[in-house]
Amino acid sequence: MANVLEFHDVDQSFGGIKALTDVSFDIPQACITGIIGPNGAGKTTIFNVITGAYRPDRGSVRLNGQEILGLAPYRIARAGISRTFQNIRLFASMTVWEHMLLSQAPRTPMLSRILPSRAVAERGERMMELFGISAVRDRIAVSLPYGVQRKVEMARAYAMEPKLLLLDEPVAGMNHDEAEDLRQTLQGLRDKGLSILIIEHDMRFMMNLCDEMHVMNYGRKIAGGRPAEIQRDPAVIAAYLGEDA
Amino acid sequence: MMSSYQAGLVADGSILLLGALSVYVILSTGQLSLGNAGFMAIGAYLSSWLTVSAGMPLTPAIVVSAAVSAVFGLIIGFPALRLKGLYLAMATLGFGEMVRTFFLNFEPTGGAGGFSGMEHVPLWYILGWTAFVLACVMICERTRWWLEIRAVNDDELAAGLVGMNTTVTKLMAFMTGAAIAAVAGALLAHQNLYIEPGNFGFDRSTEFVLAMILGGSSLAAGSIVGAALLIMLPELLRDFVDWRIAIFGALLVAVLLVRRQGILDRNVFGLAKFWRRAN
Repeated sequence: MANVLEFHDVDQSFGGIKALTDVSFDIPQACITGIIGPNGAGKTTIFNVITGAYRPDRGSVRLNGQEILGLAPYRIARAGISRTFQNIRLFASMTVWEHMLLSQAPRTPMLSRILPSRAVAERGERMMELFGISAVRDRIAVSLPYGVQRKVEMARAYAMEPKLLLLDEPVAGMNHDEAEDLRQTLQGLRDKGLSILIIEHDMRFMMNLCDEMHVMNYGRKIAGGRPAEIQRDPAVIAAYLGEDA
Repeated sequence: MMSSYQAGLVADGSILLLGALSVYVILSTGQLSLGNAGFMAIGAYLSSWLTVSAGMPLTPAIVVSAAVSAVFGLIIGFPALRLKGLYLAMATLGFGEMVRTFFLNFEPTGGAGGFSGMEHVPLWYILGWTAFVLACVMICERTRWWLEIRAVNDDELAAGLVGMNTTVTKLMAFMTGAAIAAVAGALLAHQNLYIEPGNFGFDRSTEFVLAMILGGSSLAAGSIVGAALLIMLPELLRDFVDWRIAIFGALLVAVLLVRRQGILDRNVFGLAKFWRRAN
């Protein structure tokens, strides 16, 4: 199976603090890959390295075989990686619908951004339907409940037609039913060929969702594999429950 | 029939509206420019020189001036990319003063003595340019390109991560604003028939900002209201001669206290849409 992203031998430090030490993993095509680990383990740092916000000290990040390390964030986004944020970042002045239009604009030529486009409108409608936010299309996005805002953020990210979708704690603020809906939506997208990398604290949600998982602790990867294997891994159990468990 | 006094007011209002729009386009990306009188001076002097000394017809002269001013907008825009908020406002203020001082000392365009010899333009010509620029801005407001401009203002980092080159967006806004201010300057020169560096001081730049903020800084239509008010109020308050500036100031403070977003905002139009749908 081909890998959409290869994250190899990455070190990232901030001053004297090593946020990531020699972290490597691959993200297979059309799979949901999860990253779990305690707070401060380096999960969001991985996202920031992939999206170009940080420049690591060492390592390589390849998207479909092309090195993307060192590219400006907007170039990485246009190359096909889109993300959501742990602390939601929606555009404060915009309605849900405007988010759907905007996220499709940057990849098209200038002239087509000025002219109305039926293809863009149709894709926008599809995105809202997919994440169940059509009913709030004309509301200012940041005025919506937290869980709905997360869906708007995911719809915005998916509207960019990414090759790889990064989700940072997508079920935070959602109740059990909403999380279950989201699981089905994400698995549906995977079945259509989308590759997803997801960070989440909710272990049970991740076990049901992911095809593969990687476990981080203190900036190092301590385990990787199928969810069932991860669950039995002694290093993982030690990290989550303490050394004596 | 309009008296020439009224026609003068309408012309002044139109030019003020263009100035307000020039600030509005730049502010829509979250950048406050206090130096647009500088771009206006470039437009005024260059277009006047082109029509008087080079014998060029006015319309192409305005287009050339706007283009040259846009290039200056690009040059000013680059350092502005590294500055935000107050610091950017200071830098643009400095630019405005720099242009004014340049023309004060530049003898070929008259220096402190000013420049004259332009032919008077009819009111419809000024209104035509104003309507054209206003229409362009209002059409742009409905496009996805404008959403990008707003995105830079809302959250620049998130804008980058949806694939926007925010540098290009900000520079384009600066260039557009500079071009619009130059058109305003060219029209002013061919309306007043005499220009001097003092026409393009800091007070002119603040007047633009004031008109836009008073009318509503989140949409172009706000600038129409703001420019109209700014032109009309001193006339309406004429009976209070000595106090009219003070009354004007108090009104301004009151509007900003009650409606920080200005008199118009996007919701005003949103309500109209809602109304139509409900019926």
